[in-house]
Amino acid sequence: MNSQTMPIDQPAPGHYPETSGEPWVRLRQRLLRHARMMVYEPALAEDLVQDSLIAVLEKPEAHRGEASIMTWAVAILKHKIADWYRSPHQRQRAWTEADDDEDVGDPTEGLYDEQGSYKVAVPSWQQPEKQETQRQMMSVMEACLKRLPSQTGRVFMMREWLGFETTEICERLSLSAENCRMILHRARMGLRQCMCAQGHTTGSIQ
Amino acid sequence: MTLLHSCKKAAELLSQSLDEPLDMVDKLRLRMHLSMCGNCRNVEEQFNMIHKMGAQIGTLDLCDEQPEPSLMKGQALN
Repeated sequence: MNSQTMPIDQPAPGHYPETSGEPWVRLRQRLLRHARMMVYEPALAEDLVQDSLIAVLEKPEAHRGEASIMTWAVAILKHKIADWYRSPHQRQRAWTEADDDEDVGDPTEGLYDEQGSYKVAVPSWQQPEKQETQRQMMSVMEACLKRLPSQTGRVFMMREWLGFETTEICERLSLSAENCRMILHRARMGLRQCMCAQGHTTGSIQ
Repeated sequence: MTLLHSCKKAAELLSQSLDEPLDMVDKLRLRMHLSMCGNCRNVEEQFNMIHKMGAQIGTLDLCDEQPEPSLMKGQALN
């Protein structure tokens, strides 16, 4: 993978690059963006990101160059977030704070006619081949994720990003299987509608 | 029970199939529906792409210098 956009290489031993490099600021911001999508408390998101950055700094040699520092740091952050969700004393917290009385709309409303068929033809998405197109599509998806009700987005991220099985998500968040299914379905429908609306399909996103 | 699923039901099953195995009957009915419905095949393709991309969040080096894409106004989902 091309790491040109993230020109951080091995930090010199004993030298803490966060005090000296703009890339570290960007890395931190990037991790925070992901962490905030996953955990409710801003302070907790900061802590998880901080821990991840420390892990990156402590063992720069663990990064073997097969992935960019960014990719590697994101992988560490994922583990930290997954651990947090799995820690028993956080269980209740995860749920009560996720339940923030948001307006959980149904993205399928008005989509189907009385027979349950689509009122408007569903466009076909092109598989993005060029890396540039993939990037564009990814940033549209991330922007669309933020538009989902936060609990819906979080459940989607637990499933798709952290790779939790649905049974585990239900258990961690004390949701019924039916509820979990519905939330994931709404998340996917919401995302595809948002992404369709952004016209990413032909790579012409703006 | 009607033989064929509606598109609405098909979409629910498509989503579910990304998370857990469907039972035989649902699987069959879904397959029949998909064989006749282009809209739902497109939804299937979109769900699959979203599923694949979801796992890759953060692994593509987005150009962080670029501002995030601004969503069109009035595009709220909730």
